[in-house]
Amino acid sequence: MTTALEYAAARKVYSRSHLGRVTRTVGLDGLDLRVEKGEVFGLLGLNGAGKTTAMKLLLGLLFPTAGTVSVLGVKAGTDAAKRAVGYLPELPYFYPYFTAAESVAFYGRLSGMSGAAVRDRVPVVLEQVGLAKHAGKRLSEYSKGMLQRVGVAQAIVHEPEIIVLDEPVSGLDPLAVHDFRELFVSINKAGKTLFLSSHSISDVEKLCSRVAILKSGRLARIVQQAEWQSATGGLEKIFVDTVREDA
Amino acid sequence: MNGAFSACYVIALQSFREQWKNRFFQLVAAFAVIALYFGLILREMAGDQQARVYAHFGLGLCELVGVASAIYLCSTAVIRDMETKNIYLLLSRPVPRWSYVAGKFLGLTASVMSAIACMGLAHAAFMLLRHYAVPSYFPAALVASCLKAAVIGALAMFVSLFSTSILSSVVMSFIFWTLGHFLSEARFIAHKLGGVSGAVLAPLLYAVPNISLFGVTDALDSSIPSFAGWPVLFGYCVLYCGACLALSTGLFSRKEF
Repeated sequence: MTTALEYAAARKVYSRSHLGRVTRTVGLDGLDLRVEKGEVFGLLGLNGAGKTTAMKLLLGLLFPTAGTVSVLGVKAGTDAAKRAVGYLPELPYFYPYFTAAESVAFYGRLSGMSGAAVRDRVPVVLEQVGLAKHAGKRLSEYSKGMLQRVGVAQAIVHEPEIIVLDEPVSGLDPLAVHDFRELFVSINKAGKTLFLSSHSISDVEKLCSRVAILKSGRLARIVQQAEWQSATGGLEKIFVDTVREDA
Repeated sequence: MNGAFSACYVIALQSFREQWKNRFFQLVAAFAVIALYFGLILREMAGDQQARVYAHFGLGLCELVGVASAIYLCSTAVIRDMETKNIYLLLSRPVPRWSYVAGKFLGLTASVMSAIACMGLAHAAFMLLRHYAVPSYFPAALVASCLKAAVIGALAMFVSLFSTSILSSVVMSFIFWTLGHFLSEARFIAHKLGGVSGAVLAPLLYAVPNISLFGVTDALDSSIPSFAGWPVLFGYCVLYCGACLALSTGLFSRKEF
């Protein structure tokens, strides 16, 4: 297996200045983590544990204070690294006056696809996420679940090697959650690496092969699928025990 | 580099289409058309100068709506993308920060310019309907309004990147726009002040856009030899916008989201 993502002593400190007083908050504290190609890797943690910070460092939306973050061996945040990644943020926002097809085409073009490639690819992706019938509707008419599907479509339109999903099923109904899980499994079967964060332990349990538990910006534990499958109480028990340690 | 220019073009096109798809410019156009119609009533006060007063009123209105739109759109563009977190989707792609800033500015400026052109056409149509001759300086005045909108839009975008709210950004841009009409007077005051105050004020005034340079209507209508010429106007516009965008990119490239 080759490495898809790597955090090496990655540290992020947020500095905020107010009336000359600087407040520093540690978002991520020396994270060492390696995700292999083709894995479905989950990040678990309480609010403020550093999950979103870890993802943003990967995407070049934040710059590390110390340490390095790399994507397929390339420094995170560079154009080459960004080309290899598709990102679904929590509650994605889209311009409401465009249709799903127009929006996905826009993000495809921004990812470096040619006009012809976008024209061929967009209907395929919309079919894949179950929006083919609604491709011509304005996004202002879409439900939350449908917008989330557009979010997945824009993340995979340029066929990235790695797909980063921040709370991908947050606030969705059980049927939509089921559909999304099947979609993620099919994407992974196509050889893509999935790196996701979620508060839903049961979803992480069903999807991931490995899970990292973050606590106060630090890596508290890495759990293998076999461990939670054999443990009484499953991943939830392991997670609760880990975050409560020394609390 | 090709990819960066392509991203800039894609963002500009999307911003332009977004402005025309939402109802903002339809409202602006409706407002302008109604206001122009009321201009027909105003002309009654103009005695034997009806055509001239009506032409000036319409051109002034087109410019005001254009400049106000440019300030509002350019002040809110980046802030809105940050507040809605749409910026995550844009900047997690291989899009250099300068492509984003320049693309947004070009798209918004193009939409403001096309709105000015539409309002100008409506105004010319009203004039022809009233059997007034459209003055020869009419297209030149509209082009000058477009250049003014570009200059003030670039400044508004720069101001929005360091101001604390949309309101403060809009207010600061309007202050710069107003001051820009009296730049020669302000320079004269700085020269007369002399000493440390004058030395500090004089270079600061170069940051203020020289809006009076674009007073094409008065210059061409009354043949006052104050028109600097189109190469100067276009050159100034390109340089001023370029400087604002370079500074905006400098500020924006250090931002984290």
